[in-house]
Amino acid sequence: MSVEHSTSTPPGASRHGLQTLVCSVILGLAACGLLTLQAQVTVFDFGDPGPDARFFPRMVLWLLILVAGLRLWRYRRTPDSALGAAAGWARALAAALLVTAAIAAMNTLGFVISVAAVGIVLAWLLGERRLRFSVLLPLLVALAIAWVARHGLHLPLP
Amino acid sequence: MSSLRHHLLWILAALLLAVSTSAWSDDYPARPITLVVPYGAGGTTDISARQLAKLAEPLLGQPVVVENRPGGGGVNAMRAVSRADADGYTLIATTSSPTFVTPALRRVGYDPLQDFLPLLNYSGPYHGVLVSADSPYHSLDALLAATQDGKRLSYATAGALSGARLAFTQLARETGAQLQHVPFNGASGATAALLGQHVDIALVPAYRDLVKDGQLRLLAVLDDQPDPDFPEVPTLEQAGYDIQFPSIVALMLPRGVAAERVETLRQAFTEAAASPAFAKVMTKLNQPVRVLPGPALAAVIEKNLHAYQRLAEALKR
Amino acid sequence: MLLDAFHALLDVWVLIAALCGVAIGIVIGAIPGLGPTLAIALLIPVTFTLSPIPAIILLLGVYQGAIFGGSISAILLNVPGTPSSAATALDGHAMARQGRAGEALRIALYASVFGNVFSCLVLILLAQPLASLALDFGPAQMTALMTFALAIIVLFGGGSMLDAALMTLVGVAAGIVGLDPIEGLPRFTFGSFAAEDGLALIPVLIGLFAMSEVLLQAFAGRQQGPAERGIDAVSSQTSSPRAVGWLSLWKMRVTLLISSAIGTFVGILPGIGSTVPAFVSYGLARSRSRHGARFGHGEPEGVAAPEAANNAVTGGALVPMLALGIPGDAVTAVILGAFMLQGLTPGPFLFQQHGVEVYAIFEALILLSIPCILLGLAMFRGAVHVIRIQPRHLFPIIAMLAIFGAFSVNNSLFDVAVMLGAGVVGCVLRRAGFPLPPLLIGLILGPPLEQSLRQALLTSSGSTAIFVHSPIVMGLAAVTLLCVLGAAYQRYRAARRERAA
Repeated sequence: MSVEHSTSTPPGASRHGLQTLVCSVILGLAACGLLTLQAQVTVFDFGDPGPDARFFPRMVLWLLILVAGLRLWRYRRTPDSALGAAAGWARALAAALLVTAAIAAMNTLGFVISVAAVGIVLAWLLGERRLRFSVLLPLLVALAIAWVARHGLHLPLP
Repeated sequence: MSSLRHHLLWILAALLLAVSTSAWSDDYPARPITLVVPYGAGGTTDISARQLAKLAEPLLGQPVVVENRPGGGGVNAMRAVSRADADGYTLIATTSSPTFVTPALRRVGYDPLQDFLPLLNYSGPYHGVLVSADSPYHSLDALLAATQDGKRLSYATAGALSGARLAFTQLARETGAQLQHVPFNGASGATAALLGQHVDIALVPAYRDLVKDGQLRLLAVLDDQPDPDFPEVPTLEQAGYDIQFPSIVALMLPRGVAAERVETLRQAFTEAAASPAFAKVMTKLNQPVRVLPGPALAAVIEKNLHAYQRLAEALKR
Repeated sequence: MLLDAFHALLDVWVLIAALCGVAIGIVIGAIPGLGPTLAIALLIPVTFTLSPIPAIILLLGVYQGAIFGGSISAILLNVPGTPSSAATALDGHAMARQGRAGEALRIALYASVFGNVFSCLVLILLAQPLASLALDFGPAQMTALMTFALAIIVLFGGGSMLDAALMTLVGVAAGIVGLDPIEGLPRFTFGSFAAEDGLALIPVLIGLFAMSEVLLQAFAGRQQGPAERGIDAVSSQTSSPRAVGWLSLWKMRVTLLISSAIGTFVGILPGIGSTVPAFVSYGLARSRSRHGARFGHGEPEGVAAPEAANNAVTGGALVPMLALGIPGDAVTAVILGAFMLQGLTPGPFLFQQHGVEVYAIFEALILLSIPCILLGLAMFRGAVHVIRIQPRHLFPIIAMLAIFGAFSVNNSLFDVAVMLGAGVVGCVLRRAGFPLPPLLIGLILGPPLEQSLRQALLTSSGSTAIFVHSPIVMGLAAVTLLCVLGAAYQRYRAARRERAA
């Protein structure tokens, strides 16, 4: 879990890489949180002493802004980890969208079909082309999970 | 539920119907009944509901499948059941808080009076007003009197939106007592806080052994009847305050189920709840059996929902 | 009494219950998303037909087995099966990648057993006094303790402290979503009912560690994934002599003792669970070790410390449950129900009325170590081969299990969506090189920290004197301060050595 500052990328090209991006996004989200705090947290007056429901979120969000800003400033000159290949992000995004689609379709298509579809497409995405492994294996696993869930664990799968 | 299996069961039921001549009037229940439990598997509500379901199965002639839908303090399950088909195949075993406490305080997405038909109340743990055994207060009156001259006492409850909290807020408003609410995660946390003397009072169920062991003292009961384990301890009403928090554990149906189906369910579950086998399990769980028919239960729910709604309105100002 | 209790254990049903319990527990624990709570709740109806002692042993076997089982998938796949084994993954998986999976598993097993036995002995000897000690920890004391835990994670978790602090705060901020713990009103739910339950721990865990791994694999595409490296080394190492495990265990005896003590102590306190002590022990072991720099890169002590701690929690958590009838977490709450159904009502009268049964159960808890070791070693032989499965076959299955595991927590699709969101966040953070464990700890400790802080201020009518007047709070504050100073000194010395070199 150590921070690996990527050294393989050429210096200069990675001045503003993934870490800077992540810190900026955190900074932005924390600021948004502070701005919507008033609207998103209603406070009833029960006459309680001590801090109200907005106190802790406000404190955490300010600390977050502080630390994210500090992080940006402290490592402003160290080489950042590179963004990585666009094709890689496209594949990861495709995988994420695939699961999103499966979640959306689960109530209509049912657990087995949507989850097996996730497995099949993922296997294909990871480079498996043999039918036996890319279609049959995920399908069997999905069926096995569904069977155990219904009969062993009594879970109401969609 | 797999739709394929449902279809098969329907076909099977239809075949049976066609074959047997006597079954015309009596085709309910024709498939397994789902009993939703709004809490996780393994809790008191879950265990007692499973036991009740098991005892009702032979009476109904169909399996009763318990389905846990935890989350949101029971509100999620209530919302789901309120939108389920009113065909008599979905029931919920619910408790006080998602029935008449939480709906009085915030938007929950269902109306406990309009969307549900109360079928039967079968349990409900007594909630007590407890103080530590070395506390100077020996009665509720003494405790309230002590707070009226400037002293502030804190009371622990099982959670932010508990009925016990509302009952005590109302008590504080009516008597001018200085009572400070401190919510915990569940009754066990509140009991531990009282045992460690971090709070002055706790409003919790499941106090019997700690009181009998002399670690805690029971001053009053929040329910509408005294606890049979401690008949000498008064309810809030007996102590002279027109406030109650009746604890219910009840079966409810979505509104709109045909009357004869309701009657079939009512008979089967009432018989199961009154059986000695059910009483035996409930004794082990340290839970009372409190059978209350649907109309009486509906009255309890309606009365308290309105009372809490009025209180919430007053508090929001 | 102890002898009578031992006689009660000489029963074939006790043996069967112990074996079944531990085996079920290890399997359930190894599957991400399924935890001991679900398994125990489902087994309760089975226990109706058993007599009290085998029934309870079955359930406690599941509990012990599940906590250990989580570390198998953590070590082999870098996918912790239960939250508490997330700390084990740090060094355990690093060892597996170096081809030392067998050694890592064995150390995890022995450390788990050590933690178990330690906490059970404490339970037998000190149940009553420890239960009253637990009661001394009210809201103010819990606030101080949780602050201390957060400080340890940030200071000694490894890597940059600034990064760890940032991730912890992200976790705490994520924990705010949902219902406010004091007023019960929604915060940052944007009007959604489903969001009122907040970001549940298990879906977030599965997302951060399992789903993000799948997405990273998708990112890497058809290239050889990390799991494929070092296969040959694994197969040659799996049959390494058993003595290696015992010897390295003896070398880390102090770490094991400290970690077990931390686990037992935190287990006694309500509401913290076994993940936090695992990470705290890891941090402390790292700060104490002479080769702290090796932590995170396959240091056996980094596997032993969290495993001893999270298993020691089981014994600790039983203390208030049995002595007072007050369960500290979801698992013990379910076990409490099982005790009551067997007619053994936990609480002040349990030891007086059912002494023999209770001591039999305690002794069985210690003896459960034997099936634990035997079954564990037997399962390793099969389990290490998981590493050889091609990533393109393995990761689709992990994705499917992740979806199922997230769903099974609350039977809700919202949790699956949370899992996916956490997966995307985890994937980006891992690529950027940010550490994920502090985020997990922040999410776990954030809500109870806020609740305790506000509870303390409610009981004291808003005065901060409640913190100053408690010796426990002041003691914990002093220890926290010492840790900060210690970390600063370590940094200073390391920086000077670097300059000198």
